[in-house]
Amino acid sequence: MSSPAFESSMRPPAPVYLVGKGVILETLRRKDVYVLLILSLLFVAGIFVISLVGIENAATSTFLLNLGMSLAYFFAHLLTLLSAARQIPAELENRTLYPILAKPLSRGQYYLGKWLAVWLSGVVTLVVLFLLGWLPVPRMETYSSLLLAQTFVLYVCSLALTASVAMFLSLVMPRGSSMILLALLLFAGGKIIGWIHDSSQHLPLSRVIHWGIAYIPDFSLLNLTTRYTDGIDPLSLPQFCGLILYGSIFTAFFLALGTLLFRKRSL
Amino acid sequence: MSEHDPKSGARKILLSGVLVLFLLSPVITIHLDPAGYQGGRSRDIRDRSLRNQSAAGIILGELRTSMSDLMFIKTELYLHSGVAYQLNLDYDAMSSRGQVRDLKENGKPSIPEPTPPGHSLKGPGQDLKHPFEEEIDHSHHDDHDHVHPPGEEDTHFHCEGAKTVIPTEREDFRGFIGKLHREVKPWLDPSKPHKHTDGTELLPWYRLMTLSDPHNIRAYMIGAWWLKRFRKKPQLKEAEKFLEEGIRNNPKAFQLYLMLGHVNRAMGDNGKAMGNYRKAAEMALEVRPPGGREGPDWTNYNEEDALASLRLAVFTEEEFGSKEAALALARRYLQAVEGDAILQRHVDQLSGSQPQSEDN
Repeated sequence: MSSPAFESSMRPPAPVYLVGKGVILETLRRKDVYVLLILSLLFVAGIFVISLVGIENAATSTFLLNLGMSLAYFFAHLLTLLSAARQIPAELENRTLYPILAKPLSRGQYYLGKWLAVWLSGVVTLVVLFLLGWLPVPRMETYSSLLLAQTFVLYVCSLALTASVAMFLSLVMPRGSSMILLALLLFAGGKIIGWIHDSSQHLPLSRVIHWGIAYIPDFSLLNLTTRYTDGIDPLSLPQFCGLILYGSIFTAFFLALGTLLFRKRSL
Repeated sequence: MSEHDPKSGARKILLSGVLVLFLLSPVITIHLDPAGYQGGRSRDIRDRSLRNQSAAGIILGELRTSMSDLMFIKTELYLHSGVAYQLNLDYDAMSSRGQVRDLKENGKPSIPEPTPPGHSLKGPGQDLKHPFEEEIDHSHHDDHDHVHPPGEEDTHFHCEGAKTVIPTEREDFRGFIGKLHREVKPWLDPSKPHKHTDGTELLPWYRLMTLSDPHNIRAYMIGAWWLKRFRKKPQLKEAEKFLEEGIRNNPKAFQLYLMLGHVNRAMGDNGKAMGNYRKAAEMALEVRPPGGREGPDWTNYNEEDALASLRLAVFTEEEFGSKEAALALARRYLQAVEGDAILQRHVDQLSGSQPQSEDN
């Protein structure tokens, strides 16, 4: 005779949790995160040296703040991209996927667990790097605290999208190509989309083209760093919710598409 | 998994929902533009100059140079045939007013005195003597004085004044290394007159700048200004298109309407010019903070552009519309921007000339 509480405590952990735990352990074992941490610490050391010498003007402190936040954004996204893009191809190459899938674990749960863990490790990295990039810089101009919170929330959204797109791309193209393509989208996508948008203004099917390019994930929409350091007002609630919705829809879509592909794929 | 599995049914519904939302997502995306704001410290020329002068900025080397900064530096290099002068382009003054800095006299910008009303605002190729038209058409890019040789519209020769990035032999402590540096890099003795190339080579850079940042209003303005400088119909048409693109990307940028007014004027479309100046003026009044107070999103350049819009709206109304309307407009604008000497003088002149014109 056992109580339900006892039974639930004896129940094996959820499969998603187990897969996720494996991903986080693997991330910690790899050197990527430590390299990024060292680079961020170099930035912090640089800031301390500059602070000792003295920051000449407010414009420079704002520039350093922008740089610190941009580094945190860049490194966290880079880590998420690298980690997400190698999850499934590496498991396939090493043939470690088969024993995992032999357990009572559906492919959907496996995929979701991987994505969730990659995203979470990206968020933890972001928190650490963001604190390292934001805290030590002396703030000599006024910035909106609400916009800072919005910026951070959108960073987290952007990481979720990065993880889902990277995992989806790793299923449809070679690992290296998927990484390069997503890195392009991540760090230059906004400009590329803007260029296509502007170049097609005078074409007869411009509206169709504009509608079409709206399906390319635009990560620049989820990066408010410059708006924050520019001293501009926070986003209005509809704008902010619109951006969250944008990130969520795209994340859900690529996650669903990836899961579907992975379920149908012959291993 | 069977067809009748309830889990499978729920999954299909969920997937269909996500797909529908994704297909409809452009409806949201089109209305999202968190970077679509005017001004900001990163676009402020003074802030940029302070950043670039700071030791921290220099230590961080290339990192300090944003994409946009890099392109501005490129345009300056192109303008001087590769010779790197210490940053001296006053893009903002150039784009809005073609302002010259008379360093020899007092180090302050020399602003031409406005001529009395009744000046000519004629079509293309005709004598354009409006004070602002004169400012706009006159191309000046440097802190230093210059001489235009007769008959050379696209080339400038400048007298001494601007310092080069690579120092002269007298100021260079590096000896042989410095000499080598001057030999292998494009360099001209700053005491000798230097030559400006025409703006043709700069145009792709302004295009790149607007592609890299569609909210770079200055790049739209200066690019259009260079195109306008050719004074030929295809280039003027191109300038118009360029500005229209800028307006589509920055619908609240009154400066672009101001520039479009200049281009319309150069094309001889005075009616359109009047409309655009008026639009620029009204939009400027909407966004101008009380008293034109400077802040991150309202710099002195914004203020100058706003004043130019107001003045030009009045001048063109007087020239192509009616004097009564121009007077009413000038009075209204003067109320909004108290203490503008040029508008004040214009109101005085217009109110003085009105009874006479009625008598006539």
